[in-house]
Amino acid sequence: MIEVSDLKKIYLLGKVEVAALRGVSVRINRGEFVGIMGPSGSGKSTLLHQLGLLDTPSGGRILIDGMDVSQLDDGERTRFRLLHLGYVFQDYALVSELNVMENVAIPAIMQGKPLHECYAAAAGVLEKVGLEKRLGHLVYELSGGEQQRVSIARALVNTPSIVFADEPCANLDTENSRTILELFRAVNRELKQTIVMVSHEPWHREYFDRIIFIRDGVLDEERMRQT
Amino acid sequence: MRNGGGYGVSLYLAVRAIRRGNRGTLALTILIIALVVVLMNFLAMIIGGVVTLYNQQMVDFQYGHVTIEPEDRETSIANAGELVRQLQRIPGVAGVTAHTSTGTTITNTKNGKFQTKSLTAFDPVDESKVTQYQLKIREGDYLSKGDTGQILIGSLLAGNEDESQDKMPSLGGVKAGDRVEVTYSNGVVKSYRVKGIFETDGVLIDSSAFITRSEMDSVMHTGDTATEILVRGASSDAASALKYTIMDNGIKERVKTWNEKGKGILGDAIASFQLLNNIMTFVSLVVASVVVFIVTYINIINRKKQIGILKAIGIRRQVIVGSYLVQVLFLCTCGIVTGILILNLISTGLSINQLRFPMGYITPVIDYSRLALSIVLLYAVAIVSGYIPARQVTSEEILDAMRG
Repeated sequence: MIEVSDLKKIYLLGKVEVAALRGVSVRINRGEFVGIMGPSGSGKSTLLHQLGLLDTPSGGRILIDGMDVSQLDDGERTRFRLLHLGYVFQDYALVSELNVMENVAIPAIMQGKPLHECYAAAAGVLEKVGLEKRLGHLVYELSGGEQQRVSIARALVNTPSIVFADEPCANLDTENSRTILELFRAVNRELKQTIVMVSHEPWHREYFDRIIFIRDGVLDEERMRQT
Repeated sequence: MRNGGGYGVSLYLAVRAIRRGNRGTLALTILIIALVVVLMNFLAMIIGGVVTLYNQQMVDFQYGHVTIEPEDRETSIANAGELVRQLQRIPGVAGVTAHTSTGTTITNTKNGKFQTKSLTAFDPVDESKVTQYQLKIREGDYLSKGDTGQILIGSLLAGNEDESQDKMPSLGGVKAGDRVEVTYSNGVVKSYRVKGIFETDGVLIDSSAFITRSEMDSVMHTGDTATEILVRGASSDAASALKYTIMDNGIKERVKTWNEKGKGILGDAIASFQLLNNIMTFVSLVVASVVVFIVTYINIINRKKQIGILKAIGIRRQVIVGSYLVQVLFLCTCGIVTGILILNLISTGLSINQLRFPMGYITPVIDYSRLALSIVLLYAVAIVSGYIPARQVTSEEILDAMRG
């Protein structure tokens, strides 16, 4: 479970302070598939980055399964990300010098598991995302949809409790987007993993259990009530 | 929390980055490091060749392996013949020759030019077992036992008729068969036929002149005395052992190895060469560190986004830095191996087509202790130059790094 209270993020652009999050309090239950939606510049990605420990908040508190992760130092945050969180990014964020299998296996290898176990786990999730025939390919040999599926496989290989996805369909056509969303839905149902996904596409709503609307760095309570 | 995969992951990432990175950049970087290795060692290699040549010339023409000098406060060795025979009986002694030197003025009777020189007398047969003048006769002949009225002159002392071609003051173009006049310190003036001109390429050596011991005795009444006795042993390296063997045989005179004799003359020259070499090594190291730094920095800047991704998915900063250090060490190792190969190729090439230096043909000598030192220094420089940019970029915020 994720519990966020009074989360703030202020960026300093030169001498100007820009408040991207202005006191967000939200709760995401274990096993939920939650969408974060809102207009451009509303703070959706910023919220996701704080929840996913990719950035440090300027104020407030984040509890993940009861642990105050906003208090962790850099090394502890890195370990926490490795062991408990998975990420899918808009631009896939794959390592170009690693092939499909290696890209997926690397978080498992980092855990110190034997290489053959890591590759077996990677092959397992790649089969799940339908890329079992592309294991030895380098990432630039894949289409955008395939690269995003590799990214999802990498996010899942360590069976994290929470997967964060930052507009994973932004660079994909509708057909590929639907494949990705169905994949998320299936993973969420089968593995009971919490999925927090940022999106600005209205038709994605049908896949989410719940939607957190955000506007100007605060929760859009009215819209959330309407939905 | 368990997080066991550490530096094995560094190696895993580094191997793949090397295998799948840009081959051209890799080859160029290795070549640059190899050239730095060559640069750091080439001058030392040439200096090594010069020193070896100097040493060889000292042994072959000036001092033999061991030189015996008169006792303190004596100007000559008495009973030199007996001492020579005693030395010849010592195991490991290949040849012994007694030298008697005296100050003279040598005048070219053709043009009247003269030079004040120390004239040395030896027994040509004994001498040929110790030195190699008989192999370096440029024109005419070597001295024979019992020669009288004949003199052997070095090529620089003989000189050229055109003075501008002389490296040092000479007799202005003496040739074999010409006559010179020698004025001895006792006032005797005697005319000699130049029997031969020798040329060793050693400046000090080629400005000397020789006559037979019997000729010297006939003028200076030197009898059985000698100013020095040269001993040839098995090898230059065994000179020290030979010295102590000779001393153990009850020789009272001063016994010195060729190395001890030559130290004073060559010490300053070699020290100057070494200073130049050290400056060159320092400059090369600076070049190497800048090259490795730039290569690593560009490499890391180009992969900034990937570093951000690795950090985001939970790869520790130290592991990422480690992967770049492994890459730097790999580049460095390949560069060093290539550099050593190039050095050996140069050394072999210059051994076949020797470089002609003023003192003679140089065979380059690779100084392996210096090479080892340069390798250690290069690794140290590479690690520091690789670590700094890697550390700097991995310290950036994840999202900043991911933006590239």
